[in-house]
Amino acid sequence: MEFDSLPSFARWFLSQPFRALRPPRSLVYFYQTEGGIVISTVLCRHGQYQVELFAGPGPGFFPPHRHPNVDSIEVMLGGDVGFRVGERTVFSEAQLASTASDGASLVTGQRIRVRPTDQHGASVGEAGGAFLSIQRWLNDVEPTSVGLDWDGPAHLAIRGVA
Amino acid sequence: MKGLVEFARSVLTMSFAEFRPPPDALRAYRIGTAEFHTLILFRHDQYQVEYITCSPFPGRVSVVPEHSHPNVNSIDMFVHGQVGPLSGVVHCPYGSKRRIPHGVLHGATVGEAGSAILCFQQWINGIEPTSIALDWRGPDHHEVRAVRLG
Repeated sequence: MEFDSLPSFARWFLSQPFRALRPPRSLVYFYQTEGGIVISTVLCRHGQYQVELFAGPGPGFFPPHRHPNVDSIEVMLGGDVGFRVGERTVFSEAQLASTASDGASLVTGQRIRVRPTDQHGASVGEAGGAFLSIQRWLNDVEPTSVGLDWDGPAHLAIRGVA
Repeated sequence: MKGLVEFARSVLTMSFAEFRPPPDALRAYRIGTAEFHTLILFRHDQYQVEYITCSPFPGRVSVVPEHSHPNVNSIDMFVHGQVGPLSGVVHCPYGSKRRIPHGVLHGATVGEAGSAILCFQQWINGIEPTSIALDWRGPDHHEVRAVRLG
């Protein structure tokens, strides 16, 4: 399967039923930074494109960083994740504190583009947070986990067995 | 379990764009020698699906001691990793499933690479759905709670 852009891959993935996923074998990663912990799993991979699910308990803080070889679209799932891209706070406190009529977060489904040059980070509230990272890996770098393509303060711990 | 099977089939036709995690969706636990992160992807009345990830630990397996869930019927569907009964681990193909009726003792060993499962649940006896690890009867019962890991 071939895709001509990150948005087209994102549209394809978000239209797929869960049963159609074919995750690569054994790709779970654990990260600990000075401010928090998060776990990720790679849900699917097609060439240089992949989708990684991040989830972690709160509270937490993930300092500004960038991924020099990854262009990504983050899709919010749940919890309380205060994303910052550059100097911009993506969601207001009111948005993060609000829920829809079915109880889901008001930001569920919201998308954030994070390009390789974009410094970004996040503050995670008590409720924890989860999001999908839909990625295109660039510069012929083999896709692994976006947390390994990291330009920022060093992680305190990384665990994973590829 | 007919209702649970139908619920699982229905959820598997959904895409991530349709999942609506409830406000209490995220938790983390330390159970036995295993660390878990859980995310409730979708809840409908007494049914829900919880995405359960076990952290990788290079060089060792993680053991979840024998336990039961007195108020939850579940179907586990493997997404990632090597998981087995307490006697050892085997690779579990994506989509393979096991049924665990309420009250039935079970345990698990998870390989060094960690694991991920989709846990489809039917909560019974009028118990409000939360996280399956909170409906726990087993040796670590008093230690099972939402914790800050690390």
